[in-house]
Amino acid sequence: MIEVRDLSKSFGGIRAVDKVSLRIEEKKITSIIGPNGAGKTTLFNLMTGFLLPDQGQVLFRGEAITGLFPYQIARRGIARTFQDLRLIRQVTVLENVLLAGKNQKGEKLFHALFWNGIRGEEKKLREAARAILAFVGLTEHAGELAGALSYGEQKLLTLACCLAMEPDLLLLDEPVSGIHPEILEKILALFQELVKQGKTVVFIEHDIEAVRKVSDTVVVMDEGKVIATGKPETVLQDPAIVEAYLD
Amino acid sequence: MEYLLHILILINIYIILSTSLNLIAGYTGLLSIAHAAFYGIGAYVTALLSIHFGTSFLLNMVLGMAVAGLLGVVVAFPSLRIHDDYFVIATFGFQMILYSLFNNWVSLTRGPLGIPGIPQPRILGLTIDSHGEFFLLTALFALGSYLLLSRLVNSPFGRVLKAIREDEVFAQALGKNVTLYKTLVFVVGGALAAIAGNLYGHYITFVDPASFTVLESILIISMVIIGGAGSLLGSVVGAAFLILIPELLRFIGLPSAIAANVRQILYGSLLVLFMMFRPQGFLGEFSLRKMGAESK
Repeated sequence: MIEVRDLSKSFGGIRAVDKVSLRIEEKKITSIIGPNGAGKTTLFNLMTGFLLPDQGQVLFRGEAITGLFPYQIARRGIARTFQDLRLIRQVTVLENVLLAGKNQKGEKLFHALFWNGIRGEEKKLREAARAILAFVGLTEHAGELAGALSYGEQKLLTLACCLAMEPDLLLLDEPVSGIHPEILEKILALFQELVKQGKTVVFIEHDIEAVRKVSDTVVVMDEGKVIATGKPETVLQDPAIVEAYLD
Repeated sequence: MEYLLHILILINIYIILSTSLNLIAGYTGLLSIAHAAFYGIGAYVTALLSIHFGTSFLLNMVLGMAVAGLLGVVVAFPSLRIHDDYFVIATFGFQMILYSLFNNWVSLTRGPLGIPGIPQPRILGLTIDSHGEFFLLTALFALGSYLLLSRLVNSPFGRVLKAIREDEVFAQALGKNVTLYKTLVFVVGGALAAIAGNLYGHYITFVDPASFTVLESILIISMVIIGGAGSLLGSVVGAAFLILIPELLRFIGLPSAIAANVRQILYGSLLVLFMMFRPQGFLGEFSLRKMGAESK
């Protein structure tokens, strides 16, 4: 699905990501764990074009996407969330999802000026957005301002925005950290549902129980390097990993 | 009556300027001090073409819009790399450059002497020469640009603009080509400002650099801020308010030499008071001040 080859990125002498090679399997849930500063988020930023690597390549479906702009990578079918929740808080929940809608004619200057086919498109977009909100369980909050939602609900909304992009691959940065156990269970169940629908999920997480529960593969990073990859039951039993990670 | 119509004509022209700047600054969050430069381009293109080539009002307008649109691409360029205060300063640079061209390229613009004798517009064999006709003409263009902008900001296109204003990184992650949007906004906003310049040139029949200084840019920004950033109706109110306020000074009986100075002091004081007590302006949905703080 997505593969990184020999990827490196330094910030002023610190090797944030150090020759990482990784292959993410399609229609699977992969989690990336590791202590703070291990390079997990930097890896995501390199994969989505928000940072340019010093060396190495990112391949998506076999094609190199290194050097593309973030919006181009997003349009190829990679949706991502951010550790610090990024949403438009001053507009409604529904409008956030509408914004994320893929390939909108109405976003083009010409169509917007002449309202050419926008109404019909908006109607379809709204239906799709409502279906997504129902899927993540935010239907009753559709008309509320995004900023008025609880922290956990905002994380659900960022997931809903990703889904509106109709991606094949979701890269989620700490999707369940610091949220209510009830919403946590819901989000994990959604991951499994998404995989059934043919999507691939990669998430960075500190919550080991959540990782254990849903991951097909666990990737452990430390000091910019991948130090282990494997099934959760093997990787998370390894005393060396447990020690490195829990410290 | 003519005096009243004159004021209304000015208000119409400033509505075009303030609403078009609102698209750039209020909706997209790109505070620009270069709007008077676009305005000036529209006026100078009109003046030069009609004096040297006797071209018609509409052709002057279209060509003025084209030149201003091109300038829009150039002015948008730094916004792709720099943000907030730094971008404001960069637009200030463009304003200075354009003013210098108007003022110093004497062989083309006659410099500070300005260009007199711009003919009155002829549309479909009809010459616009009375105040009443000019009022109708400018009202028509003010309404037209208002409706056009209103369509834009209420469309999915406008939804993306607001997303760029609130969180550029989020917009990129959602697959929006932020660079393209910023450029388009400057092209559209700049081209509309050129319409205002064209109308002004044909109405006053004279253009000179003094009409397109940075103070003019700040006046237009004040209209946007006092009316309310992110509200088109607010910009209409802001334009009317800031044109009418100094006119009231005349009725207090201030000599015109003093009134001109008092006007600047008044604008400045209003801006300070609004920033302190009502940063979102008359009708705005958010304050530019807050926006700047959040985006850091």
